[in-house]
Amino acid sequence: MGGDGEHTDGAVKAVSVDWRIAAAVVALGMTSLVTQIILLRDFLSVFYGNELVIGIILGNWMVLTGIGSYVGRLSEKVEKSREAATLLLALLAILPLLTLFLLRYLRNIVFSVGTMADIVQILSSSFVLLLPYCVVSGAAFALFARLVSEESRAHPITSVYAWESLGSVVGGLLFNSLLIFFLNAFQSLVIILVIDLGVAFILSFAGVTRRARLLLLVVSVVVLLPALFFNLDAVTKRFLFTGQEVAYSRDTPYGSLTVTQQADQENFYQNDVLLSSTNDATTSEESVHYAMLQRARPGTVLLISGAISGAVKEILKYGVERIDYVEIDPWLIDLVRRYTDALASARLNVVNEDPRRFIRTTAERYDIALINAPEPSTAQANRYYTAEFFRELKTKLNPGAVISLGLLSSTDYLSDESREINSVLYNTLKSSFGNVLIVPGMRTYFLASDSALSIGIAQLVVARGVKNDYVNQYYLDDQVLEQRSRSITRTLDTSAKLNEDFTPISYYRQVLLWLSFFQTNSWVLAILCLIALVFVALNMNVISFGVFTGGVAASSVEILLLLSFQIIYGYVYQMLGFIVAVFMAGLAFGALYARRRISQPKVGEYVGVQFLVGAYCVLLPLALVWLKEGAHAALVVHALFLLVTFALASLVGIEFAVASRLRRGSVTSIASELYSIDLMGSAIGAFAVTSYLVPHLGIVSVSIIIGALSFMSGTLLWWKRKKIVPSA
Amino acid sequence: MEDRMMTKREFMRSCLLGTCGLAVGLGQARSLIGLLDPRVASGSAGDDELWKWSKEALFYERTDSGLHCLKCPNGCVLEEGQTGQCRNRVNYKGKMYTIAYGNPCAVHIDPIEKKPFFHFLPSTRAFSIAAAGCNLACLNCQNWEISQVSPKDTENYDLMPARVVDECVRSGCESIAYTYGEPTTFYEYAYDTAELGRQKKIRNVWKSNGYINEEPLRKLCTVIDAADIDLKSFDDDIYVKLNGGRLAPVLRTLKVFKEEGVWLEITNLVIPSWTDDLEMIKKMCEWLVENGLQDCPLHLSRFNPLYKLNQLPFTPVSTLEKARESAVKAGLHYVYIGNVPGHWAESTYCHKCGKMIIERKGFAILSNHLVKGKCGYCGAVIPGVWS
Repeated sequence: MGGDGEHTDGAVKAVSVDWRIAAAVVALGMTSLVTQIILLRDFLSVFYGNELVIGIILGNWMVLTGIGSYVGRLSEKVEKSREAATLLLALLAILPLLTLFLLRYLRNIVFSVGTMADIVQILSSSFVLLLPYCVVSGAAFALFARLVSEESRAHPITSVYAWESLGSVVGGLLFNSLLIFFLNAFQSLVIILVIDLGVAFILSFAGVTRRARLLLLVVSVVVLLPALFFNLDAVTKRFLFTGQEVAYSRDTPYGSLTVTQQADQENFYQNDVLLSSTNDATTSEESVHYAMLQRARPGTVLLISGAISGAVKEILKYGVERIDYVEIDPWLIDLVRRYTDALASARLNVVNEDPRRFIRTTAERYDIALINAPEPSTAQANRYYTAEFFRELKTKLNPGAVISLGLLSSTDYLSDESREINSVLYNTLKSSFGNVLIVPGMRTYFLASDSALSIGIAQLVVARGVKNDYVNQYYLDDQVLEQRSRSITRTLDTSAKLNEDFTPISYYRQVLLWLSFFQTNSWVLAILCLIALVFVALNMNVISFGVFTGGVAASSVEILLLLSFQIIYGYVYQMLGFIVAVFMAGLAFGALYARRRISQPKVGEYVGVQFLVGAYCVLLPLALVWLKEGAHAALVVHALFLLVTFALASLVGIEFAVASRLRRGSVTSIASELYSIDLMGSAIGAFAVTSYLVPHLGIVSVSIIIGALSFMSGTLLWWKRKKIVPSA
Repeated sequence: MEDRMMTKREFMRSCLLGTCGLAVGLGQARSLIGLLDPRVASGSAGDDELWKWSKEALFYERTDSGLHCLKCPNGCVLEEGQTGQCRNRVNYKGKMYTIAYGNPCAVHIDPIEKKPFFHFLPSTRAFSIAAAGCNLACLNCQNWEISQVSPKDTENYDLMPARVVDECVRSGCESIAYTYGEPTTFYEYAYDTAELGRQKKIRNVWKSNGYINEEPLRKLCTVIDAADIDLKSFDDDIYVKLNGGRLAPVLRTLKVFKEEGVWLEITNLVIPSWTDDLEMIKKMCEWLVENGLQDCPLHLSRFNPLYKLNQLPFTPVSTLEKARESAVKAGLHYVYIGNVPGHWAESTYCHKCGKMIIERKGFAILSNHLVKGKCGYCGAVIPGVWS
């Protein structure tokens, strides 16, 4: 990247640049965002999607893009920069498709069929697969920035930044509001490919040789033909589902849904994780009957997910009056309707809503609540395992009602990690219900009620006269069940923490359980972490420490806001996408504001912004707790979230713009080094927040800690202010 | 241009960091957790130290490069302080010790059919024990929390052989089952317990992967009454990839049990994309028949996603039925389908007249037409240990 020779004092002057270049930068921003969302979703499907894996993949993305930017400095040596930029844009259009194809194609070639990849495999394979796109994308931005500076002969930063931000915001909105609802991953990427190639072609009509234009045309035809005429999604799904015939496949905002046919059996997958297979009596019966049997005449039943595995048929064996089946994903409901007759009963009421939100708003009361949520391995799934959720649910239960939920767990012996997960759930249920009973089965089922619960399942089946294939006196021995139930309950840790909305310890415990599958690999990450820390420590100075804390604040508060919105209001895909878009717009606004309004940045201003970020982080929990505790209108919740998101992003935008100006005068190599520090530092900071601090200390404390960090860097800066030479 | 980088960085962060960062530092956090939240084992000895539950191991020899374990085909050679692949044999001051003697981590009472044994004391209960450790590393291990750790990492009972026998008698069980994990790894404990059990007229059943050397196996046969061996596939390459072992030693084990007169049942888990090749299953069954094992019940078991092999579907029931048909055609007399509740192939059909002689549902016998070990319809002898 260039130095600061083109800097002009005072507010930045308007820059006149070829509109084609502007369009190309917008396209770059858009491509980057859409590609990131699509590849992240697919990586999480192909691998095992817990909070840690999300972090690993995004971490790789950041580091590789940083490397790309660093490599981009070489663009100073490129002579035909316009031609290079055109070809690079074309390459960037193609790479996302290629990456997605390779990800699915190589999954069962590199790793054994059906096996879970371990953490080092995920780290290394995502690094290798993301490398081409991320490095090229990082380098492209640098090249385009240089191109703009050449064209405009003025400082280009404001315009480039604005176009790029615009592209990302447009890309985010386009994908989250449109593409995801109608197209699969490949189709969305083909749309981006067509746009990018179009822009590259337009760009090629000025300052690009005929030869290069011809090359672009040939490449476009070669790539577009297979992309448009082959169903790449179907082709690659076949690679993923070896030995099965893919009968249905659809990408939805809630993940990808796939149905495969295998001999006489149908398998239903969400994000490539098996939801259920036909002829699996054990799962469908266990998830229903252990709870239903507890009450002589259950009248109303709340079923949270699980219709796809045949739960409705089992519930109807009890002659209930009403079943409310709540499912967040409308496409999954459609799938149930298409492949099963589960929704045919007149006594069934299908509700397409976030279950937590439904429970808050429904006027219905239930005798039985069956929760079939995914394991609490992500912050999102964890919402169905918290003390607050159980409290809310209890207000909608009739006296003596029973709730049931299950965890994957061995019933012969619990490892330390499993024991902790089970203990947290047990204690959390106990915080709302007088009795909690563990029923060991294919999964470990937890029943909770304020009335008595019985482990005499076989006896109850006989007494109630229910006919089952598996949950009956032939397969279940009450004495054996009781002995195993007692043995598990006895080993639980009664002092284990409760899993709470704002202190979601369970997803952290799930990550530890997953890690315990692979016992020898964590040292690799420990070494990586150590290298990063040493690197950061060696390069840190007061300015970069400010940048570091700003980075930590930006990334972690964004996480806190996304988590909090789901907890307070419920999971609404578009709104979460919108929060991210508003965050980006806020950053752009902050940076533009700083460029236009702060002509001569001073250390005092930088310190002031740091203190404002600190104050924001300390005050944020007040707003969140206020929102969480009260019953506020949806409009208030939405407006407030968008407002606080925009406010923080603007502050951070200002902070970075001021910091970069304060560092003016430094050479390019220092800028690159700081960039790396920032990336590393932010990665470590965000890691600590998402995977350790939030589950342990909770959202409120973490927000205050982040605020304290900003106060600390502000104070340090003030202390050392005389050593900082402001820009000329 | 420096500004350009700053804003780009900021922008990237906002888009990407969302939930980011975790890549680095995980291992460190994990070790931190280890410090905050120490494991509670039933002893405090390090991995290479002895404890109350150590006993000098059987079957090893001294070599120049260390102690050579002769118990299983892994053939670990342990230098001073080293632990074997099974995680419970250590070289301590020039002697090999087992650290899994009298310290089971799982103790349960199960129906004998759960192991599964269908031709051995039906409808009885087995006092079941397991110590941690295994000499294989199956990707789909059902009991990985026991099998893939050392006895020093599990919470254990203090249950020496005499107490196991006492508890078995007290709980009214007719047999002691060495199960869940891999009993070969706690061989000395199992052997001594079985020997004591025999003195009290208690039967001993061995649920194992069959990955054991011939000498310890023949010795074991003197105290064991029945064995159920997992024949995980009939392909050495699959054994290597799926289980971390080899096929030949398991086949030898089957033959030895037969030779020694121990009642033998065989379990074959049919895993989609791994072990569901019908041609391979046919060859496996033909081998069993060729080696005189046609009377050993074969349990074809349905796979469900587990442990590291969690991205596969259940085995289709029709695949199991085809496999059963193939097995019967190959000449096996008693082929069952497991893990499919309510399936007709849970019941026992006379190999001669084809009539249902034991109507089984789960662990219960609904009707029994077996008369003194013979088919109640045609009088054919039904192989098994019935009383």
